[in-house]
Amino acid sequence: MKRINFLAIILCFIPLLYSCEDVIVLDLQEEEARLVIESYVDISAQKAVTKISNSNGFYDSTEQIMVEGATVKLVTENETFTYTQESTGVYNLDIPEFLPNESLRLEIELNNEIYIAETKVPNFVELSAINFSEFTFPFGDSDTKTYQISSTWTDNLEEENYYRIRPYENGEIIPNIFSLIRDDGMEGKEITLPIRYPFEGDNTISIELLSTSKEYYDYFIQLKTLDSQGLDGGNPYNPIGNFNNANVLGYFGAFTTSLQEVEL
Amino acid sequence: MRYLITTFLCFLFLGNSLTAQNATLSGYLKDAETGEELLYASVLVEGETIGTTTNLYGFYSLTLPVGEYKIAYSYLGYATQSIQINLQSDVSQSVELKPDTDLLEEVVVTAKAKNENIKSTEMSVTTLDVKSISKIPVLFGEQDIMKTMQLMPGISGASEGSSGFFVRGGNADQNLILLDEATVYNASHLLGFFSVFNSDALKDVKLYKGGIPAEYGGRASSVMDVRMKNGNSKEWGVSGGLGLISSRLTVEGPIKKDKGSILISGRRTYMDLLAKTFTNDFDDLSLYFYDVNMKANYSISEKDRIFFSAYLGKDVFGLEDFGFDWGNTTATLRWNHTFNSKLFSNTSLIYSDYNYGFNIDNAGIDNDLSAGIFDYNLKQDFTYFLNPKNKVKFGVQGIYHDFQPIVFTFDDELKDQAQTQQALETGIYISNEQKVSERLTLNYGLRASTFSNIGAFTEQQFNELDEVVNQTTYEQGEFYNNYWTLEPRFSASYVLNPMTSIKASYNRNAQYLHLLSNSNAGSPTDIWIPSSTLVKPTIADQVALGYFQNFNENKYKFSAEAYYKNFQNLVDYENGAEIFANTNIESELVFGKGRAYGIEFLLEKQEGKLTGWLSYTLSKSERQIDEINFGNWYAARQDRTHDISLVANYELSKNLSISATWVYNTGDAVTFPAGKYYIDDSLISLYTERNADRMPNYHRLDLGVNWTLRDNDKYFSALNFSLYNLYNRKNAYSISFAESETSPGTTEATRLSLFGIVPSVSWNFKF
Repeated sequence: MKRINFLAIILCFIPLLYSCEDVIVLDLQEEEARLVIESYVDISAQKAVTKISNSNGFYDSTEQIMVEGATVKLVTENETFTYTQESTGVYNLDIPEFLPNESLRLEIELNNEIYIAETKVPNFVELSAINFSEFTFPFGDSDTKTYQISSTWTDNLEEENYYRIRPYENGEIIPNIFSLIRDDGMEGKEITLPIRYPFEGDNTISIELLSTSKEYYDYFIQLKTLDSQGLDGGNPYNPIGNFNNANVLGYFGAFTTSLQEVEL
Repeated sequence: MRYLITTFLCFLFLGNSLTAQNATLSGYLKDAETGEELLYASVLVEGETIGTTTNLYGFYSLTLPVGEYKIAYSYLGYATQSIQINLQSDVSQSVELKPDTDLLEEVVVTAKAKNENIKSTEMSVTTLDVKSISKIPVLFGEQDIMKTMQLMPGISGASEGSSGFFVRGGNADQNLILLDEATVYNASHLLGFFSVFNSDALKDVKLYKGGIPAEYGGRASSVMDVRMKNGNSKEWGVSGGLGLISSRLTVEGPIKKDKGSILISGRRTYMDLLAKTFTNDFDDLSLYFYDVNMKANYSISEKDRIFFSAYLGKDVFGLEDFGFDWGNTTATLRWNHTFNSKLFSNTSLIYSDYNYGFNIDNAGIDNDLSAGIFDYNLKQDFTYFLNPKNKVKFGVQGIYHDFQPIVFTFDDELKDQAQTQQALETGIYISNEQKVSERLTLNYGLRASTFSNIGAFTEQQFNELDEVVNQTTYEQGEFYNNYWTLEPRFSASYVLNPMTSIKASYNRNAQYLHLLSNSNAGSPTDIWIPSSTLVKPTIADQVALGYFQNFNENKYKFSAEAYYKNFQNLVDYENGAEIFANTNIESELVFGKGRAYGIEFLLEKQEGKLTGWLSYTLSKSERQIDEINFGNWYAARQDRTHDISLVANYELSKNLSISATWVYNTGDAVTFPAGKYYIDDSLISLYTERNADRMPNYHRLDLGVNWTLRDNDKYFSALNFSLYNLYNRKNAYSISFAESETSPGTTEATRLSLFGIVPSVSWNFKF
């Protein structure tokens, strides 16, 4: 379902343009650094990535504080794989072909603590089509031609499915877009999901359909609801992932990918 | 309940036998120019302290020992009229009062008689005389009773420019908003910048913050009772106004002179049309609201009168392939009947709905979503003027609620639908206002309310993972989840001297409907749900103590009120709730309790060239929900420690006045980030406690000039100029946190201020 941007409605309601934005400095509370683990298994690309970092203060540098010295393992029913650290705090692993519904377990040992999370391998779902149409978004530069894109695929009837659409512009991922849907009420049917983002003309746009594990979806849907709380926002919170230690931020999930490209 | 009714019948019988040597004076009080009934007007025996007030339909009844009396009929803003009455048997005496034009210039937000505030048992009540608020400067020059109410102690606005409000730390959905007795479920237009109330069509507004009378029920925190004008029953007239963003027009006149009248009032904004002239960005944009109020009444006999009133309001928002509209509809059919000079009856049949709908054209396929709530309400109220010392009210009410949560269609084919739900809410009440002595007056009553869900419905139970673990199916028409609550209501006034009184009140209120909102400022897609097995009714208990003091022959009025309010069974969304288009919304809820307490001060000046008021509230409002903040108490979003309003109007000459308002309040309790981290290459904020931070304090000064161009018997014309936010304070509407675009490598907080200085002008006329 498309997101309704109530702030946009407000802004268009005040055409005399009274509203203004400025940067202010607030006296924010300080929170101790918390461990952040982002770990995903890309079944289609046959690779697994785990990024370990620490949170930092809001007004601190935006540079991520990566954490090294961890031992990271991926455990399946039959085998245990160990990640190698590619760069500070980034641990990679090449994986063999996993079967749908196979259980995956992530074990991280860091500073004498063990962090564990589990997920399952999702089924592959193919993106069948992407469509685009010219669309003028209000408040944009009216001279630039913009497009709306929607993607279509057929849901797998046999199981619960979770999906995420990830768009790229000229090969670069467009950040902060959390377009997610699950197949409730649409089991086995064709699903069309529009992305309300002003894709600009003369660009190559790739749309990637992720068929995700439930754990991946459950985490990212929280990011989506946090991102889409309209007006002056609802109540923000820290999204809850699937690690055994509730103090850890982040998630462990798996997905398959299917990609299509279009020249606008 | 049977015991109560028996007691009451005995009481009536006793009352009648005691008053056998008495006679009753009764009738209506009306405006001599328009025929409009005057509500809560004062009827007093001159030279004595015996008297009464008119009810909501302008009816009064005064039973006295037979004899000769001089009766004074008075209403603030009108010339008092004294009539000699020889009361040997029951006398029917309706009176028309002439408006006193000098007094009309005042800004009046108070009880009607000059020292009614001292004598009445009412406390925690704000009454707005709609005619009199027109001089207060407001945003866009659009008069709005709900914004004026926010200038009174204990009532705070939801956000900048918003007509939504909180009362004494309660939630926004805990205010029962009634328009001619019909519940208005969403009282906002255009996301809150306007209320649904078109002042031109209104006669009287009364807001109960506490001491809520037994005849009202269904909400935990307050009752806002808005009454529409009946329409001029003497002559035809047209009035209206032209403003920068909207215009209004009202036509009213007699169906038959002094027998019946009709009023039709309409309003429409044209902001989007103006916007299109500024920029091409708005070519495909529709954004406006309109509303229409209509009311007709007719006296079919001396004892019977029929009223029909209706409201229709709609907001429309549309882009090229996207449409969204929402609105309320209400209709009220009423029958006033006076059985005898002491017993007044009103029967009301009421319909109310609120609904919204989306339409998205996605590559030629129509996607529609709609939801709403529909009410059918039957209500019977009696007022029995037993004797000058006892006024008894009793009645019964039944509301059939029909909830249509979410219906999804793709290309007109039903895709998904949350189960519709039905419920029956009833109330039966009795109350008595008893003058125990010259000094002590009591108002005590009891309301018994019930609520039942009605099948067909399949009720689901969920586990901690929000998965359905059990379900129970109810047949069509089957009643289940039967709740009932006894709601005692009590208030007392003790007059220390004619200028001073102390008052106390206690009330319990049950609320069976709950508004689910994940947006602090409220949004049209917020949904109402009924109580159920999982969602228990919200219960609020409130005690209040007040001190009332008038000075300088009632020119100055001062009051101080302290209150404590306790809430049980509050409902909120859990963190990360999937809200939009969720057909299983109960799985996303958490439950808790709340408390609110504070002290309110109000100083008013109602006479002279300078009029106005100063209000100050010191308060606290907190919540406790096990799943939030580790179960610790935390500040409610609307917790504002200090809230000050200063309103002043100064008459420079008969035709020219200036007015000003200044407001200040502590910033809302909010949750700001305490840190940051990255997921999926996106910056994510790290939070600590719920609502542990504060928005910057809010303050603003508005200025207005009212210039009456012409004012005679036939024609009225006036210009209103206003400057909103005169010193251009950048009050934060919202604060967002993101990576800086201008200083890469840093993060920053960005404040959005909606309104700088906003000048406006409007022209109002009447002929």
